[in-house]
Amino acid sequence: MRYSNGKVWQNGFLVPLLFFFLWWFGSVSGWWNQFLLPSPNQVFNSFVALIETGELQKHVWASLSRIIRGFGLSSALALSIALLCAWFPAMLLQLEPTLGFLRHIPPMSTIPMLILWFGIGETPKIILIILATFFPVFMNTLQGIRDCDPRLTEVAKVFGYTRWEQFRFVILPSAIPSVLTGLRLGLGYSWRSLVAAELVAASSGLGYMILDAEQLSRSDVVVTGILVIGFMGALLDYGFLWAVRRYMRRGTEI
Amino acid sequence: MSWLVIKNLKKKYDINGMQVDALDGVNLEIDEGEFIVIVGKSGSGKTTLLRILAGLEEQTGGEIIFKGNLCGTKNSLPVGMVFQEPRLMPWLSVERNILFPFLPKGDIAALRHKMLSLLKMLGLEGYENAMPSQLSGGMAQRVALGRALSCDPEIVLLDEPLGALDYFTRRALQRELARIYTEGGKTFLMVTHDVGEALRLATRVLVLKNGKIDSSVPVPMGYPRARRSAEFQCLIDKILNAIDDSGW
Repeated sequence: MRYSNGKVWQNGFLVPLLFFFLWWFGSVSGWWNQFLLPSPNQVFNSFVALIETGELQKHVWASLSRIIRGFGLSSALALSIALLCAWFPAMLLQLEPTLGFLRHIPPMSTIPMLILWFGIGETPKIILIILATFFPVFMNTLQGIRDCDPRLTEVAKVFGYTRWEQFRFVILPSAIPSVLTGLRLGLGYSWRSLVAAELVAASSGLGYMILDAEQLSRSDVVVTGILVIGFMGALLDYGFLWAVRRYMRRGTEI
Repeated sequence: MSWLVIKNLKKKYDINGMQVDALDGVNLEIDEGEFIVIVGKSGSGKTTLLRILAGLEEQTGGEIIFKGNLCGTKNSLPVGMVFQEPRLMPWLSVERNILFPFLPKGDIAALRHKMLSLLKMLGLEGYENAMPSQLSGGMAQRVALGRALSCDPEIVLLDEPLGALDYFTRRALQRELARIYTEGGKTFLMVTHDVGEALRLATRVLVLKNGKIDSSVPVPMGYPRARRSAEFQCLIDKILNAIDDSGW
């Protein structure tokens, strides 16, 4: 009957439900050592305990505030440089080889140098997010601008649009879907790179919480941390998509 | 002197080092309020001529004189143009697409009345909030026509605007164009490869051949035109013979 109601099955909850059932069934049947993979019960209890002590909220907020700062800064930087490159092709010509080189360096590989230069404070984590987020936003924005149908700019030319007006009213709006794709990708990248940075050197954040629990052999807290990270990432992604769809419904006019 | 004068207009293209003459000295005089239709085979230079008049390309030689003034990059012709495809901005509603020429100036709300009367004229009432993806090909081309007319241009350029439409939509839009022309008193310059269409609309048909005006055929008929009349058929034969004199 649920199938015909089209809720649980059609919204993609079947796989997580199956996963949780297997996890629960394997745990109660003793298929594996509880230390290697704690039961859903244990994880839930540690989740509740972490909320009650306020630990989880503290770490989630620490990670989230880094994302907000890093992603915001990186997006602003990437969008500005991409727009400048689109407006001044000579600038892109100068930057392209350098960016092509930097693009292939995994941000994680810079962690040792970032710690050496900036210590283990907030700065290296923010820089890491900037490095991880910059290229998807930059590349997608630039591609969106380049992909603008020249036939549309011809229409603007016929009606006497200046170069700036063509850019503002035709090229930029046509690039919006691509820019949003870049921002969405960048948001995912920033989340992943942040947790990696917190795993290496931090005193707060979800990555730190996992590392700390590992050292105390608290695999239930580790699994809780992993699930919260996944949940937070998905939530941010859904939130972003929701905002985009709301914006699109308004006609995407800028 | 005529209203619009085109003198010895030339356009050369460089295709892989080979110089190709798209226009090889076009001379033309147009009076205000004429409906000129240019016909010719593919590659005869029809679209190139229209693109130069629209300011989308620069001529390699010759002059365009409008109301006695020489036209150039800073002094372009007051045109509105409809292309073969509607070329609507997919992110803008029908209302905004029609008022597209005014977007940089802002204050679109003040032009709402103008937009609504254009929609009424084009048979698109109630569609002002629709998006281009929701329109049929014929409707989208009507919106493109509305956009070209919204800035009240003195010259309306039509580059095979009905070429991609089905027969019935085409006929309906031909009737609309004839009505808009007779009601609006604007000067129309249209390119088509359909001689029947040219004769249904034009007050004068120009045959372009090898980058030159080969012949100019006045069409002294009112609207709507009886396609089966002897006069209409005679003009069709005359134009077809002018386009293709190979004897086939």
